[in-house]
Amino acid sequence: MNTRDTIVTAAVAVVLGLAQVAFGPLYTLFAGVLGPIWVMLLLGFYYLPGILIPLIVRKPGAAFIGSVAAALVQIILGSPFGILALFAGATQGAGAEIVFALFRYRRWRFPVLALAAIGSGLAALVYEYFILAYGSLAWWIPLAYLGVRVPSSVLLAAALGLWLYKGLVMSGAVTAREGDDS
Amino acid sequence: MSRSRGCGALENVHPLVKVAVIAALVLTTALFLHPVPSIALIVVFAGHAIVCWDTIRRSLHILGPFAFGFFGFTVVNILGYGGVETVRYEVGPLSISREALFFSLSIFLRVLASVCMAVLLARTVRPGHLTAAIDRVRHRSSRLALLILVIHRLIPDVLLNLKTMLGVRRIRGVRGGPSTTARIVLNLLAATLRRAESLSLAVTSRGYALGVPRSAYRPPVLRRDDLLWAAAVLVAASGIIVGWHLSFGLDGFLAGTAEEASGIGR
Repeated sequence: MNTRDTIVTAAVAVVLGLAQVAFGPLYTLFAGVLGPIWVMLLLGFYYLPGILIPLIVRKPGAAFIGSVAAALVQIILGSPFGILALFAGATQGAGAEIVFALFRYRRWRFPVLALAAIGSGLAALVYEYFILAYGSLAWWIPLAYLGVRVPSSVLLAAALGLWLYKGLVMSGAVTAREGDDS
Repeated sequence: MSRSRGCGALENVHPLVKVAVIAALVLTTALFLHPVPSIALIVVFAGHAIVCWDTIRRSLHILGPFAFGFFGFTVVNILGYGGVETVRYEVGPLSISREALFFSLSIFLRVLASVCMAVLLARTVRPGHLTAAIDRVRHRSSRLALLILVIHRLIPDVLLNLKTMLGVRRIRGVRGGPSTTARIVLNLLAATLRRAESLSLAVTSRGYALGVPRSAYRPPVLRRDDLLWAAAVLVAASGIIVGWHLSFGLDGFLAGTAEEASGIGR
C-alpha cells in the first residue's frame, strides 16, 4: 500500500467507524428485544470495513488494516466495546484478508465478497469462542450463532459493501476498475 | 495543557501506557473464567466514578443499552449451559443449575468489566493526545503513523459533514429510515474520499513517502536514464553553441574576407 492507499483506507475507516459507533446502542437495544441469537442478523454491519476498503483500495493488507483502523476510530470515538473492538476488528479483517489472498487479490465479484464476509464472520466467531467461552455452552448454540451470522455477513457486509462501492463509482468518488461486478 | 479530559489520578498517565495496561487487564479477565479479576476492574471503575461523577454521568447512554442488551445473552448462557450441573434451583417453571449461574455471571462480569474499561479510556484520554503519543513512539511504522494522523485529521471533518447533511435533510423535511441512513453513509463516504484524494495529493506533492523519515524531502536518486538524459541535453546544447559560433564565425570570416577583398581592390 502506498501513501495514497493508506490515506484512502484511513478516510473510509473514519466514516465506517463512525457509523459503527452510532450503530452500537441500536445493536444492544435490538439484542434485548430479539435475543442474542437473532440479533446476530445485524452483526454483518461490523464486517463492512473488511469488504468495502479492499474493494476500493485493491491491495494486499487492505482488509486487515482497514478493519483495525475502523476499530481504532471506534475506540477514539468512545465505543463501549473499546479494546475488545480492536481485537475483534483484527480477527475479522484477517478472516476477510485470507479469502482475498486465496483469490490472489484479483477477483472482486459478489461471490468472492460474500465468501470474504463469511470468512470475517467465521474469524469473529473463533475470537468470541474464547472471549465469551462458547465452549461451555450446549453444542447447538455456537452453531446457531454461526448459522444466523452467515446471511447477515452476505447481506450487510458483501451486498451493502458492493452497493456502496457502486454508489461511489456512480458519484465519481471512485474510479471503476477492471473485474468489477456489473 | 492537560493530557486528559477527565479528572482524578488517571488524567496524568501517558495515553499509550493506559491503553497497554487496559488491554492487558481485559485480556487477563478473558483468560480466567473466575469473576474476581472482572470484579476488581469494575471496582476500579466505580472508584473513579465516585471521584469523578462526570465520567459515569456522561457514559450512562452507553452503559444503559449495553445492560439491556446483555440481559438476553445472559439468559441464553444460563439456559444453554452445556457443562456438568450438580446443584439445581427451581425458579418458577425453570430449573437452573448453580454452575450455569456461575458461568453466565462470570461472562456477564467479564464483558461489563471490558465495557467499563472502554468507558474509562474514552473519558480520560483526549483523541488528539492518543494519536500524538502513538506518533511519537520510537521505531513506529511510518504507515501506522500516517494512518493515525489521517484518522485524527478527518474525524472532525466527517462529523462536520454529517452535521451539515443532517441539518439540510431536516430543513428539507426528509424522513429518516434505513435507506436514508444508507444514503447518508454513501454521501459521507463520497465527500470523505474526495477529501482524502486532495489530502493525498498535498502530502505527496510535499515529498512525503512511506518508509522515509516524516517531514523530509525524498532524496534525489541518480538513475541511468537521468545520466543519459543529461548527456543528451549537454550534447544538444553544445551542438547549438558550437554551431552558433561556427556560423557567426563563418559569417564574420566571410564578411572579413569580403572587406579585405574590397580593400585590396581599392
